[in-house]
Amino acid sequence: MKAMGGYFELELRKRNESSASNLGRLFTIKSDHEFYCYLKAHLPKEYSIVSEPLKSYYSELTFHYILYHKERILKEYKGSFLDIKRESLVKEGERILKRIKENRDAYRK
Amino acid sequence: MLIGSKLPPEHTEKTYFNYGRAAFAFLVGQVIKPRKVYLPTFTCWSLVSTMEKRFPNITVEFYPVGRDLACKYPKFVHKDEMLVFIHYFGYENKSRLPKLEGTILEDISHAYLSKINYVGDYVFGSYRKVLKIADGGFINSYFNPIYEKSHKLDTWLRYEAKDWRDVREAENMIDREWNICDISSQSLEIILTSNSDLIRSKRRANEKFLKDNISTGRALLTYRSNECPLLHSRIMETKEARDSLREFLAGRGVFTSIHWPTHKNIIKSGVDIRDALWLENHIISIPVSHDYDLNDMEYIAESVYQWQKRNS
Repeated sequence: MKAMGGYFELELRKRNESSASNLGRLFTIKSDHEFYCYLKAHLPKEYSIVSEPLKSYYSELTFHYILYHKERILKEYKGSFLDIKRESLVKEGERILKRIKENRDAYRK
Repeated sequence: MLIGSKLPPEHTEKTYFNYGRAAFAFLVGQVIKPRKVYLPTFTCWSLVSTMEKRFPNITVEFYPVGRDLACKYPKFVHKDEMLVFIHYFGYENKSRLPKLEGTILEDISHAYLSKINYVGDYVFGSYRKVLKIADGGFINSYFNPIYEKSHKLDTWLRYEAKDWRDVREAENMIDREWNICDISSQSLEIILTSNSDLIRSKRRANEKFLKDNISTGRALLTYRSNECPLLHSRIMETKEARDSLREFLAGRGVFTSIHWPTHKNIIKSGVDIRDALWLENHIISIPVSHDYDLNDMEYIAESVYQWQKRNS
């Protein structure tokens, strides 16, 4: 997995608290293949994740995901599911949501 | 007499699944349990990869398919063997079936809206090739499957999709891993309420328009009056011309496909794949969906003409 540009910086925002309260409620991530849907389903509204799949045939094992905060790229995930360490995207997905939640909780205090 | 809830429920002579490949896997793994499976060399990858991933201990043998889509079946299908054949692109496959003691599976994914007399022991398919739905496969017989556990995230993602990217991502998710599940309620409602006659008639009119109004290459098929085209498939003189036309059309918002790149297992198998490769290198499949009308077909035909003019 190759992280391309950007850095992981979470800005604190008071808005969209209701989305944040959904964190962890929808489903538990079990597989690296679920990383994209896990974040798409659980990210608070001001964050988003976009997939930029290849157009070529039979490229299902490659991935290119871009994590945004509003319009700003926070991080890119690009590579092949064959090459990444097993459960690395599972852990990354959980880490992202945990960090967002921690930042929000800190802001509330 | 008892009230309905105290009685065993009714059922139909159809079983629904999330995908055609799930219906296929259910038949192979739960119903037929063959020792050997015959598949065509000209086929969608999903059947080959299902055998590879789910049934690595079942022998798979491929039979050649000609440039005219005629199938060269094995001479005999033994008792513990299974042969799969496909009605390509909505066109009835009339290749003479072999003598057999084994089982015939008829894949009607492309042809469930064509009025065909089915001859297979089991008839199955996918609904997603013709209808714009998130999921859907079927067997034309009643079974009571115990479906596998799944979040069905690919189906969820399709409903979240705003453009082609999430649809493609969902397709990639299925190609990576999938379970044998039931169809989603949204897809089932659309299938049961769609107007088959109208769909057939619109697709036929669209396909006929392209056949009559495109002069480059040649049409692969001439549909009979009972058939519902999946696509308008044309054979181009060279791969270079085909790829150039595809690129030109994509630039004008017309997205075509290639049926099909040959699976690595078919290439490795040693069977005669010359015609499958020839088709892969010459075919261009142009959409004729019932969502489009003759104005759209005219735009496609005009675009092809512009490509011809540019290259003459």
